[in-house]
Amino acid sequence: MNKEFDFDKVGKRLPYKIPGSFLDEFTGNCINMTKKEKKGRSFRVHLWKISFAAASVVLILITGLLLNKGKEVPIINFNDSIKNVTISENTEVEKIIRELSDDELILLSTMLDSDMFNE
Amino acid sequence: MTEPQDEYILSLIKEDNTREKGLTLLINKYKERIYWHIRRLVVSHEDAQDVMQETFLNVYRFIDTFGQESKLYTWLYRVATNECIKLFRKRKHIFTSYDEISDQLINKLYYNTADEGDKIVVKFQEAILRLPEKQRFVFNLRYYDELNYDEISKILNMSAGSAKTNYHYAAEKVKEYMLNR
Repeated sequence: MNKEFDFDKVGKRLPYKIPGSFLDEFTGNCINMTKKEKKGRSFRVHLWKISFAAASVVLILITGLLLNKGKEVPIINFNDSIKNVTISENTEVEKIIRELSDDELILLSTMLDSDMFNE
Repeated sequence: MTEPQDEYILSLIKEDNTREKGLTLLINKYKERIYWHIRRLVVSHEDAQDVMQETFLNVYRFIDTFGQESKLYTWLYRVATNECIKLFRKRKHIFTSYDEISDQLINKLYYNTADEGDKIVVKFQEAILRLPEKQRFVFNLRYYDELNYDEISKILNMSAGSAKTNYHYAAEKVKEYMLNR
C-alpha cells in the first residue's frame, strides 16, 4: 500500500520559541549598532585621510632625495665666507661691545632675550 | 495599523536625515519573518541572533546596492541566507563534512526542544535538517515562507527550474522520513 504523509498534520508549526523580548528589543539594538558603525566608519575615513597625507609627504621626500641623488652638493668654504665679512669699527656702540668681557657679553645677551619690550 | 510600503521605506533610507527612520520601519516590518527564516536554518536562537544582527547590519551597509529589480523582502532573504551559509562555511573548518554539520544541527534541535511535547513537529524538523543543504534551503523557503520559484531562484542564485526540482526531491525525502522512521 502506498502510504501518503499528510503535511497538514504538521502544517507550519515549529518546535522553537523566541526567548524573552528579543524581537521587541531588536530594532533599538540594531539601530544603535548602525550608529556605532557610522561613527567607526567616519573615524576610519579620517584615519585614512591622515595616513594618505603622511604617505604623500614621505613620497615627496623620497622623490626629492632620489632626484638629487646624482647631483653634487656645493661645499661652502667657511674660511672664504669669514674673509668676506667686513667688520665696521667705526660706530660707538661697536666700540663699547668690543671692550666688553665674555661674561659681560653673555649677561647682555640674556638681558636682551628676556626684555619683554624688545620685539 | 497598515504596514509601510517598501517604496516609502526605501525613499526614507536614501535621505541622510530620514535614514534612521527608514531603517527602523524596515526592521520592524521584516524582523519576525527574517528571524524565523534564519532560525529554521541555524536552529539555535544564539546563532539566529548573531546572523540576524549581521543580516540587518549588512542591509544598512549595502542598501544602496539594492537595485529594485527584485522585491525588497527577496533581497533581505538573500542577505540573510548568505549570512547563514557564511556561518556553515565557518563551521566547515571545524566539521569535515556537511553531514557532520547536519548532525550538529539535529543535536541542537533536540537540545532546544527538550521541553516541547509535540514530537511530530520535532521529527518533521529533523527530516528537513537531514536534507542536503540546497534542498533544505529551497524546502524552507517554499514550504514555510510560500515563496514562488522565481523568488527562490533569486535568493539562492539558481534557476527557477532547479529550485522546483530541488523542492520536489526534498518533499519526497521528508515524506519518506516521516513515514518510515
